[in-house]
Amino acid sequence: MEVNDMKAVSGTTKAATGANVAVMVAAAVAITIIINYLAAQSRFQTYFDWTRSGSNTLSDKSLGLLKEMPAKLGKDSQGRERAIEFVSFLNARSEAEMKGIEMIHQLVDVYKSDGSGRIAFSKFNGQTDINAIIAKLQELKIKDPAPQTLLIALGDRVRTIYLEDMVKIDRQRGGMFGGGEEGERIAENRIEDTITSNLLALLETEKPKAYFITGHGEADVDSGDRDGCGRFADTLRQSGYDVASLDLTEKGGVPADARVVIWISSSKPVPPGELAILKKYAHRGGRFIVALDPQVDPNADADMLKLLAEFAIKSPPGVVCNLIFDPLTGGAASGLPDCAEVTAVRYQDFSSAHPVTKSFFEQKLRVQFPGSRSFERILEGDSKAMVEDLARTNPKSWVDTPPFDFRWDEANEPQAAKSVLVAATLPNETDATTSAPADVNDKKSKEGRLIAFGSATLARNGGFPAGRDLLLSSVEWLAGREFAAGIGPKSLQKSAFMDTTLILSRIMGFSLILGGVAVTVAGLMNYIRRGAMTALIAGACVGAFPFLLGLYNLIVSSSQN
Amino acid sequence: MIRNTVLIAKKELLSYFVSPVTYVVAGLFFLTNALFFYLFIKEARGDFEAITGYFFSWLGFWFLALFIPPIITMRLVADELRLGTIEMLMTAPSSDLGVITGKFFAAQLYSFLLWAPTPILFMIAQWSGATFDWGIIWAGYLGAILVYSLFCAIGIFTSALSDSPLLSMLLALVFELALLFLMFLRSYSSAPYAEVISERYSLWHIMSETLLRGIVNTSHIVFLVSLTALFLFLATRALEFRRWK
Repeated sequence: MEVNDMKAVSGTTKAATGANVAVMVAAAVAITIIINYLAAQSRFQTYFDWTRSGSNTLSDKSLGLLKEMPAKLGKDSQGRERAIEFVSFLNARSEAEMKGIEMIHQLVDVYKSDGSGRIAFSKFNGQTDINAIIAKLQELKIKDPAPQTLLIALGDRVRTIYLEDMVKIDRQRGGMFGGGEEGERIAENRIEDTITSNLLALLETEKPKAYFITGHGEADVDSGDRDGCGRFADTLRQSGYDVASLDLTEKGGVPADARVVIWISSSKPVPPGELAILKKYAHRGGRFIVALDPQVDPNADADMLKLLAEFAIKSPPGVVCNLIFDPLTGGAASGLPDCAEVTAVRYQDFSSAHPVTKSFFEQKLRVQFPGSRSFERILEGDSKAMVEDLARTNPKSWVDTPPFDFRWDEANEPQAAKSVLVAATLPNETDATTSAPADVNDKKSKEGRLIAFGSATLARNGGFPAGRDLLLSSVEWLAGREFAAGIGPKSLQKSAFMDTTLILSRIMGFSLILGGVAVTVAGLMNYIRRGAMTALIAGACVGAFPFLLGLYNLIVSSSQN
Repeated sequence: MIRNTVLIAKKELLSYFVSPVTYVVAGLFFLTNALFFYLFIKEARGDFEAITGYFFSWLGFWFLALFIPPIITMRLVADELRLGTIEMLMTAPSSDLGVITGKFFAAQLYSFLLWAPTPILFMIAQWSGATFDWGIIWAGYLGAILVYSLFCAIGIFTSALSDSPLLSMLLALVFELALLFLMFLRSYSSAPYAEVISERYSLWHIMSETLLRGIVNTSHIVFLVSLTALFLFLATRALEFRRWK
């Protein structure tokens, strides 16, 4: 073969190879694009939430609402599918706020992705998007916009959620252990709880109504005083309820639109006629929250106990006390009185099965019940009520009887776990006379329900921050909105304001040790490879210094701790 | 082919471990991370969740990620081409793909070994009283592993393009920076796809906005793995093209 022929063959081969490579590269790039396009489609895309508290995952309750949403939204007059729009005007003014807002936006994104294409989300920066904000406000027909809000809009109906409703930022500064480390922290995450409640309120055409019984010395629903119930009522309104007082003498009965009747610690006798109305309402599917106070006069709330008795619940007089435990050792705390009337319910003592307390168990939340009464089941009689303990105190608790001295009287006050929150259901008597309900859910929607709180303080303004989630969850369950009952706040990473010197010292010590080892091994490898004894000795000598320094650092820092 | 791939990977790994420089690099890598961790703890002032975010997405992480994989891989093919030993490798009973994947696995394993001691930093902090969400930390490590794998694949591809290790490293840096700064695409284009690409495929976004929030999205995993596979495939084609050039 001639040289020219060889060149020609070689050139042809090169061209063929080049063309082959080009075609294969193009094909590979195309395949990669197709794979990624498919992977990005919502039906193939899935995500896993690796956070400990599941902060990126919606609860089953919220998912249930989103699943029902398309049917509830329906179509508009022009036949287009109606959609919900989230609009964020949240702008960070501090690092903690920035973190909180990121968490909110992140969760709204999850709502959007789980919202079957019926949720839109737009974010606006208050400093740079002024014109866009004005246009959006005009579109939503909002004339007086509030700053730091998340709006949820459905047509011309708009719900406004404030930043502090979703994340509570602890602005208190100062070191817990006396250190100089300080700063703002997110103390509470109730983003999902708030958003789902507002979403629900937006979707419901008729607001559920909650009535507060008045007229017998109960806490005032409009009062902002420490003993009033104003904060409880406001929170219910924010969650989409209509709230009103209920004077049974005036009304002559429980209004037909009542979804929940709330009775916060009466201190005066209830006329027999009113009590009869409440009992009758209970047997016809009535829903109650009853909260008790410790009473010096055992007759003061005798009528409330009569209503409880309809649900096979009794409450002995006295206050639940328990020994104070040292949170670190688990033993009795030294230097403190041996008991306290503020009883703390640990997360493991909440019912993990009931919708009201399930999230408290799962999120490992504890709640204090100040000055709490205890509850027991009435075993005698033929009541058809089903009673369930929702929260119990620890086994070292007792009921301190009047006169209250808050000391354990071993002879008369047996120690045992005391129930401070109970739920009871009562079959609907009207059902017995009518045909059988269509299904179990129907039956459940008609049964009488009651949740009894041992501590009325939780419902009063003074103690409401501690009782808010339990009360709200209870109202949702009683109102038949079970899916909203179990959301509750998400537990947060406990990041204490602590002295970080010890961490820094240990990291430095360990790094020096590892650095020393690396240099020594490098010398050893040089010796193995090249037989250079000098490199081995130099490596060992140079490596020994940081190694020993690091070891000393670790020992000293640990012994000082 | 798998056996040959494993043999090549073993040979490359051995060449790493007999070199003293390897240990110095490993030591420096750990010390750099420890130094950043040290600074983050001081900066975060007890907010330990933020430390995880800093550790896997701050400048230090990306600085190391941009340089370490190209440094590990820059000689892998370029040196063989420069020294002519590629001819021996090509005549061995192994395909181009076997050679490339063998070298890739060796580089990948070495980069994983660099990361291996770093969870100790979190453990030390936890031992000293800090609390972490380990789910987010492991998601961060997953991201680091995937990013380093991708950058190793890019490094091998650029190494197969040039005889010069330095040039291949610079080329790798260009590719890596392009992927990292895809997030700025939407700043330059108002097209709808620009925003989608910026949000979905920027490495910065994948690390900071999803993995470091504890969210592992399958589309991101597919993106990183498929891109790694693509660059490995491109490396084999580059090798083939050079052979016939």
